[in-house]
Amino acid sequence: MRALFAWRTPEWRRLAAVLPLVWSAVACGGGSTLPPAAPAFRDRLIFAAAADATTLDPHNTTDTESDQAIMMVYEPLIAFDDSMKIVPRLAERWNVEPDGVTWTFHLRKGVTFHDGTPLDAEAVRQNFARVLDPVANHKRISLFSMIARVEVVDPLTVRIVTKYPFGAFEPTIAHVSSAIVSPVVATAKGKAFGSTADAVSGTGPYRVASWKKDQELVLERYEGYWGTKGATRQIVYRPIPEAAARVLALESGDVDVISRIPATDIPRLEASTSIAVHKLPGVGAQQFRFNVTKKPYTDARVRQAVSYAINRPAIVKNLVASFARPSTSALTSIMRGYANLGEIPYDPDRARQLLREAGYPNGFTTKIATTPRYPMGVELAEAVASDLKKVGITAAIEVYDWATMVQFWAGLPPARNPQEIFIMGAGASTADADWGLRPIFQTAPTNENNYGYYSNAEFDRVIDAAMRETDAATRQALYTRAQQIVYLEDPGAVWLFDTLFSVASRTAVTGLRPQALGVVTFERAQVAGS
Amino acid sequence: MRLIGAAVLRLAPVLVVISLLVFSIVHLIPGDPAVIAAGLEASPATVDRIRRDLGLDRPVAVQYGRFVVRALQGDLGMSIRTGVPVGQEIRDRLPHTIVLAAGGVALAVGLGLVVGTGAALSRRVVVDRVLTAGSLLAASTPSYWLALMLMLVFSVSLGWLPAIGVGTPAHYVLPCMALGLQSAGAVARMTRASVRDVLGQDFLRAARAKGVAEWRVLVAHGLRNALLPVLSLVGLRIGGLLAGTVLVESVFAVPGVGRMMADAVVARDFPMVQGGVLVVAAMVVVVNALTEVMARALDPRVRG
Amino acid sequence: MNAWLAFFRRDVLAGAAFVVLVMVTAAAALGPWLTPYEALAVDLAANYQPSSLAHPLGTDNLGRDTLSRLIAGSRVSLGIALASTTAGLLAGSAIGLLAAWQRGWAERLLLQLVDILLALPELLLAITAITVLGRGTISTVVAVAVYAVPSFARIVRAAAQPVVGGEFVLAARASGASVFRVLTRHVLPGCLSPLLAHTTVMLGSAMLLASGLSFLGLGVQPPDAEWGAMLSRGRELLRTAPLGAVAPGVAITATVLSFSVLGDSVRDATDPWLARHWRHSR
Repeated sequence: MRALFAWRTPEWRRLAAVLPLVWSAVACGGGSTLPPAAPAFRDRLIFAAAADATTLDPHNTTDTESDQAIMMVYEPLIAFDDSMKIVPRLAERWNVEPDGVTWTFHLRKGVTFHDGTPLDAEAVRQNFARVLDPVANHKRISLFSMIARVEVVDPLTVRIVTKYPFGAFEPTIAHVSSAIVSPVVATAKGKAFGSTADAVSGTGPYRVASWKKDQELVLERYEGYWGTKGATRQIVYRPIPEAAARVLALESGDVDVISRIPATDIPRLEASTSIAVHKLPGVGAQQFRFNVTKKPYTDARVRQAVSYAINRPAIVKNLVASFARPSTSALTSIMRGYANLGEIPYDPDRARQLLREAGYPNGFTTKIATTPRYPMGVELAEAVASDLKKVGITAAIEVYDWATMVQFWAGLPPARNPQEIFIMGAGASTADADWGLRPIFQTAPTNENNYGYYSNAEFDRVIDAAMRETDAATRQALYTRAQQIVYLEDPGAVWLFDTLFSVASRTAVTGLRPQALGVVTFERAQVAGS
Repeated sequence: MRLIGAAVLRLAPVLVVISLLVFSIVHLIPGDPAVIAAGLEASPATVDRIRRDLGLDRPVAVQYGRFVVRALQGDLGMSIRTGVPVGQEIRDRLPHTIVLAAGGVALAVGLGLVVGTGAALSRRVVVDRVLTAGSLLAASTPSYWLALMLMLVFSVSLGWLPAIGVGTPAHYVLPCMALGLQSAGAVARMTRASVRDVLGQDFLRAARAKGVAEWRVLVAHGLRNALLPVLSLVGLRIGGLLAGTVLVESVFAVPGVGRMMADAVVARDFPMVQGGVLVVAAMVVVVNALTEVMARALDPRVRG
Repeated sequence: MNAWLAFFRRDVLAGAAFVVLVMVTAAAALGPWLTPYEALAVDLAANYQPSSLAHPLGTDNLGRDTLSRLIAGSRVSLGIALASTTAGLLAGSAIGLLAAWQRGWAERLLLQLVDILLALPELLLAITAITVLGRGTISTVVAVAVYAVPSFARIVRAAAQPVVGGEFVLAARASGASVFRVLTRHVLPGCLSPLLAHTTVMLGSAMLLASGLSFLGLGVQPPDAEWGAMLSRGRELLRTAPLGAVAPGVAITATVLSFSVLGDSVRDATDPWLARHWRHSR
């Protein structure tokens, strides 16, 4: 079977070249006699993600597959547009008082949920009460810890008061988990809300028609939508877990759009005439984090040495070119608060010198933990280990599955993670510097996801000040300083590259909305053909 | 009848031990379901509350007790990941997996018997060698590759069969092939060996000497004897076959129990893993009991 | 020596299989002296190279020479498969013979145990073994052996049961032969042909299961080369750089195939002897 494959490829190409012709001949039934018609569009689009949505409850979602379906069905008060600017959605306009803590949102008139419930200020209040309810314990509760109270001013005006001036308030309210759910259905379904097709109700352009777990989730155009109605009648989410099978299904035309394309397949798909690959810079970056409580990483010079010892240009050019751009800071270029600090150069001599200064002239031995969950995760660790070897650092690689990795990070008491250098994909789901830096690098106990136990007094001060700063220019200056510290002076990680978000579609598909947050939505998508 | 009753009686203790084993195993595997369910952006307080909600803060023995008591009432608990009752998830998915497994076994036994008997009976060494090599190749090809190759040839290149999903009988053809071909190779090898053994035995020669048509003797005695080890092989391989559904269901995007278990292990969704393994284990035990019963019916020497 | 030559002259396929196995064994034994390149040497600028004079089997995505990794990996792959299958064979045969011999509660208990092991998904079983033992090559061997035991036990019991009940064994017992002697001299030979067939299949399964473990990150740890791990990781490159995925696959299949072909031939060649004993046992 394997030997067969060697000669399979060219023949496959030949067949693939012929097949579309055959199809079109069949489809037109003789073709030329038909009168020219306006471009016809199919009434359904099929999208294959790697996994089914785990929940359609925005207050409980923690994964991309759920997020992108939720964004079709629900809407927040304000939202990100394609250039990551914040624009009105369920709120027509909004403003903040000079105190920096009182936000007023004026709701759009005539919006109804899919179950017929009208959207009003009380519905919004109940939503925030729901996500903040400690007993119900929704997974996104910590995202909203800055909210003090939510008040109904009049049926179409709602006021949110925060505990302190919060610089990243708007991105948080534009977050997918701030989406407003129908309070009627949410109350009726209780804990089961979002787990089946009949336990879902939002205001978005699509409503859930049916949901067979791991088989297909069918969204149907919501005819009562307040804005521009969905372009295609049905959007079908059909999860295909195996990456190679997902690509084959796109090539065979079984599905119209796929996400999570295997890195090595991207160039081949880009070369295909029937398939288009859409790539855009996102919020994601691939890094190797240091555990700064482990010797010798307690010394910033050692961390800098490791960083200089890695040949990033070679890695980006040869290993991950199809989905990566060199990192230029601790945040990616599209994030709010980003400052361009340049690429870290490849400088093994500098690395050796820093190691000498730190007292390790002959290098040392260390461990690199990685997981194949990240694209090329194992290969990246091998490449890094090979580079480190050249400056005298001997690194053993340990490969873990995702759950074990998460256990090391979040399942152990603080400062007990035994890993020394570990892979991590960063990606702040609010596309803002606060969420991109504070939880992962600020000193305990305020840290929540600081799994490398990074601690830098100046960084902590700057981050705190920036969080409470609402003046844009001052805020930017503070975040620039924070990035200088954690990216250059006292590095908390090796930033390898920024990842591009990519989806692939048949060329007949138009109007896809891939977004920097790593999700793709279909409200404007159409498939030409009949 | 007595035999079937005895076989079913054996099921109960096996299931109890398996439930205990599975329960300890899922708790041994590193990874806390609460941590994974909460996601990487969650706060420790959220994780603690989820852990409490799920009852994961109780001692393992208490958790097991609750699991058993509920399982006896037909309640396998709720999925940690999706919040749907495990029993319902399994009910929805089991038909797909049963169709796959049955199709796979049918293909394995049917093709295996034909090819194996052909190889054993062929007078020409070349035919024997080619058939044997073919079945060997099938037996030593990873089913993952087989699955992708089948998809590449029959869906992408030829466009004869749907690549993914379920719905029509045609959807099951490729997954059943991917699942069954490997075992077909093993069955063919076993059949060939057994038929060869039978061929060398006295009664065949005696029958031949008496002038009875060779094929008749072969069917009456030879194939019957050859079926015994094949039966035990099917019993052996049913576990592997069902394990194979994990992979094949993932490749062909079939919403079955195997894929559910794979996802559940990744998410450390304990109730789902336990429920899935319990159901699959019960299937294996039942099939094994059936093969044993059939073996006894076929061969009077094998007595209880 | 002449007898061997004559045997292989009669059976060309078996000869070829023997040659393959000798080559693989040689690669395993002499690995470090045979590899044209350092098997772990990363050269990113030279990755995804097709077959060439410098790299007959091309390079992988990190620019490592595939041929060198294949040679280096033979030692690990062959070692794990052989060691775990042997362990499974010994333990499984012992259990199977005992179950066939000892009717009553002992048989039932052993069968029960085997049923339980068989009913558990193999990968779950292996994961447990590795979780208990920690990761690494030895753990992989034990894990795969645990997976192999029940099937060997079942095969041996099924094959031994008719023999045990036969007159020949009864006669041997009556003449005062010890249980061990009867089992090893009279019963075990009767099981050899299905055992041999199953062992060869098992060697392949062992290699594949070990590779599955590598894929989960529980088996042999990178950057060390191992065929199964190479295959698992090569599968992403199936359509772009097929050689890197095909080569370890061919290596595994060829090795497994050779074991099987040789097993079959040896069995066929010894058939008259086996048949004689078989006849006596009835």
